[in-house]
Amino acid sequence: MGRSPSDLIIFVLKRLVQLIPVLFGVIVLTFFFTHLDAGNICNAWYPHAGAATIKNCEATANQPILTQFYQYFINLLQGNWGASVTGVLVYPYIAAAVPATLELVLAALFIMIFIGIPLGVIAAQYSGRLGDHLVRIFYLSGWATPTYLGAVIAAVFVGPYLGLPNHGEYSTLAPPFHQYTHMSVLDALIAGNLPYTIDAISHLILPAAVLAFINMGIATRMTRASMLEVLPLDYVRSARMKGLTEFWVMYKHALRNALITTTTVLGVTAGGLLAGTVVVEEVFDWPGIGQYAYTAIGGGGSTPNYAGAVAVVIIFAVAVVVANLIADILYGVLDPRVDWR
Amino acid sequence: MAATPPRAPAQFRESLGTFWRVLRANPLSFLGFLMVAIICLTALIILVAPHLLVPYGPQVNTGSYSRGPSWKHLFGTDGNGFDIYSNVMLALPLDLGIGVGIAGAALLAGGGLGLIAGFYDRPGTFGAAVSLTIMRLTDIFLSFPSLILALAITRALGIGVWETVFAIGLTWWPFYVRLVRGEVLAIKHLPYVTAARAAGVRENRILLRHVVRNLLEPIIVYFTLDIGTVLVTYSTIGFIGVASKYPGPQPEWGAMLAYYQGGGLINTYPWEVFAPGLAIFITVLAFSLLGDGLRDILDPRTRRAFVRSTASHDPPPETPALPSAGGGAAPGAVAAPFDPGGLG
Amino acid sequence: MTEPVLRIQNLSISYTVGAGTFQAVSDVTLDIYPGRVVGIVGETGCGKSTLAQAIPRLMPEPPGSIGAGRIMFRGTDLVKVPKSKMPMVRGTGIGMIFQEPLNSLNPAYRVFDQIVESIQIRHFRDLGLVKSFQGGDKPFDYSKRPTTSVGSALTKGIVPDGAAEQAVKERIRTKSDYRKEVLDYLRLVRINDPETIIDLYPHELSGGMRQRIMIAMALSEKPSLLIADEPTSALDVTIQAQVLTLMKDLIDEVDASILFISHDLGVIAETADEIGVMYAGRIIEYGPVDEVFRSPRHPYTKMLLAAAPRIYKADGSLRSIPGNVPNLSRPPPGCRFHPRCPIAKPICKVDPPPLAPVPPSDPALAPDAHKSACYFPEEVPGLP
Repeated sequence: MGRSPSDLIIFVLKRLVQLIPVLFGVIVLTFFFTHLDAGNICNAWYPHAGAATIKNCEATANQPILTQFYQYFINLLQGNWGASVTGVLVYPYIAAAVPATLELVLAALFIMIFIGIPLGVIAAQYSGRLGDHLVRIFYLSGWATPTYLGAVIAAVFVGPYLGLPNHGEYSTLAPPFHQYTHMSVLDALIAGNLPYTIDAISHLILPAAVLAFINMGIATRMTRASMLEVLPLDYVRSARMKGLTEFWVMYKHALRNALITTTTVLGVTAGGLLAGTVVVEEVFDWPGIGQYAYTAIGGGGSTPNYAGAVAVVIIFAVAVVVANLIADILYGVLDPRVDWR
Repeated sequence: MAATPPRAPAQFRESLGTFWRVLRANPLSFLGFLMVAIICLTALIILVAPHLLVPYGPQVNTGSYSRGPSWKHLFGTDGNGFDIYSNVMLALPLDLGIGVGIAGAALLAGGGLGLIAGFYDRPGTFGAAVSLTIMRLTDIFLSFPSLILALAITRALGIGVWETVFAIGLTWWPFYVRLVRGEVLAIKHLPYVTAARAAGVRENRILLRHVVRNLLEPIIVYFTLDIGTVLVTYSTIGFIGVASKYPGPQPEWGAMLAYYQGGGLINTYPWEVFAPGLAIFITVLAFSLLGDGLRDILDPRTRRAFVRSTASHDPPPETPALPSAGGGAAPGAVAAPFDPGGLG
Repeated sequence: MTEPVLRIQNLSISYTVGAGTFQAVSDVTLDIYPGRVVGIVGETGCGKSTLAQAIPRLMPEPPGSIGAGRIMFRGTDLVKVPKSKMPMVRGTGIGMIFQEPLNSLNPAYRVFDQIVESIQIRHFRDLGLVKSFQGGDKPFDYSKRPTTSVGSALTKGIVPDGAAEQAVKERIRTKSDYRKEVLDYLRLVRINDPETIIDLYPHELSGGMRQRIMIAMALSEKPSLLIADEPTSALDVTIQAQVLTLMKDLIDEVDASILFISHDLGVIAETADEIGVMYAGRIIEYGPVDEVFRSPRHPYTKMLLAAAPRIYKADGSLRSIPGNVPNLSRPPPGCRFHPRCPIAKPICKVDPPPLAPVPPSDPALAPDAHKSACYFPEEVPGLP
């Protein structure tokens, strides 16, 4: 058995190496799918360029597909991700937008973990009884609510009712401090500006809550299922017989083991949360990558931006891959039966 | 996961009876079952004889503008004078068909690939190379959030219902590959398959028979839940405005919602937004209730427990210890949750 | 005479399953005195495990329910204790060793964490840091647990360096203190290399080792009563013998009050002072082990002893009891054994015989020491 810290490093490195072909595949697929409509490519990639560049591009488009892919791949690695129709460069914009989305997703994940998982425990504890039914209705409602409907209801009705803002990251357009991380709450904290921190948190609550509610089902359902598997096991009875109260039996003994299987759905959760940001960020005007994706894809009748769309698809896929990696590592850490070597 | 011999017709009728009993014992899934039945029936009626349920055509000006819900216009009318109820109902067959169609196509394509990837896993053979390719491709596809990839593909292909359906379908199959392959691999290592192999029975023959039987349960559950997920994804693409145009000859819920919400008058005319939203919510909720309950029902452990608590005949005096399915964390390898504890 | 640690009176337990109920335990009366080991023996399905799990109220309710009777534990009727307060009785009051050592330890925690949890539960209760259970006739206060009476019956000789007294003195203990105490318990259950074992996970241990850990865990709470529910049944024969030897040694060392459940007559013969034979939910014979084994006064006991395989028996034949264990949802009327009984008379089919004293074969015993639920105990010795 290898479970020492040095083994853990090997364990993580091994998985990082395994990621390389997947990431390469992601780039290939994205290239392939966004080049399905070959006639449009040049105008989309170089909308305001001079005739020389267009000509240059058309020369590229006429080249063999492998040569084209090679050029595209090199540009991608060099950070030369193209520009939108209006000439806004993709790379710097996305670099600033990623932290905002990360903040939103992490806040939603926080809500999912601290509300969704205990709900799953309750449902399993009262399996087949009223508590179980209520929890199931709750998470299935989230599941059945289309993201845009939930976001619109929250923004238009819930927000004003609770007095929560439904627009942007701060109440003012630009905060009076430097945004180091582009995460609204964190930046306000770094600046030591308490009113702005509270303001940032209040702006974060609604979109994060909507995102969490929509995706709650995955966490709650998985927790419920794995708790139902764990609860009849002998060690739960042993824990009870030690004299532990039901709370500790549930949360220290049963949930600890149920969580091992629950972490495996983290990747699915990440996919759902990220896909949710496209609509949630648009409705709440959150300056993240989801909102960028919405406009880049041509949502709401805006001019499509192929360069941006390609970048966004790749970024989202990479995020899911990373989430799966984290889930894999978490699984290895949580389950003592996994050998790290 | 006990080895069950192929079922005789009498056994099948009995298991149908069990299914019915269990459904009754689980009120939420029963509700879901009822809702799904009603929704499917409604969709069928609208397809065959729309005038029975739909008073107006999709783009008929009723002459009353932006009125709230009334008996004449159940969900009110919009600024064009269109009857929203009619448009919502006319969208039902399309949205339902898209949900069932995409999930079904993904099930067939992904399931087939999953079977191949599960069957041919002996290293060094040509089959193993094919399996490996399928699994690598599946891994890559699973890295994309379906919505994002489908959006990009739709954008590349051009706006339209069929383009969107194709785009979603292209991203949807990998889930089924994982599901089916996992199940095949689990069954491959069950004791009775090993025993049959030792007895010289052709492995693929047993496998196919048992695989189909064992796959039925997880596939039905996943498929039922999936219909709802596809519907939400499709309507989200519709909402973003890349799938369908509204108003148009064929309404679609996501596009309707986008159109009405885009007007910015949600506070003044909330029914415009709520009607299509509610339609999606109820349809997806119906399938989710049914699918989520089916998991409990079709799971052999809970099924046993349900049957025991609802059946009137004598219980078995002994609760037999379930054999572990060898695969380590096989979900079927634990005792029933209502097991009354070792009876002596 | 001292008060019994556990006094079970007319206990009946039934399971409701669908429309039917079945009586797993009927009208069981049992006393366990301090320092005594009571063995319960019976076939699979006779209700002995239900009885064992009902005492700490561990059985699932519903479907199980206690129909009638009392479970008096140190003066408190556990049947009347609300389920939410039962955790305060478990562990330090009643400890339990289970049948399946393979799954009884939490796979996610190291041996140290699992045993230290038990020690901390006792420690906190001793110090009065945790709310203690008050109820029944006598208050049930862990903070003032007497040091010489029943409550500390298991304390004697467990911890060589007197850590028990130290524990009460020191309110705060460091991890290394706890580690020392855990190591003491691991040594107590004869684990050879405790320094290594303490940091392992359950899946890295053998079955016998895990059962030793389970025993250490139960003992570390110093319970007033220990219930051992078939502690050796799931183990290999050689490991079984080792664990049994350990249990015997511990019983001698610790002077414990134990309820020992087993289907194996040999195990009961080696460990118990008194034996109760269960059949179809009832205790049908009860008495000192030697007495019951030497001169059984119930045809079932007699036949059970005859059926028990003995290696030294010359003819090598295996006997079995004809017939089957009755269905407990429709038990036979009268004596439940009568369909299988070779000496059954008409009355046996009508009235269930009470558990009544029979004259002991050993005149030194008290006249009511040996009891049998048979109308014709005098005919039993004549059976083959």
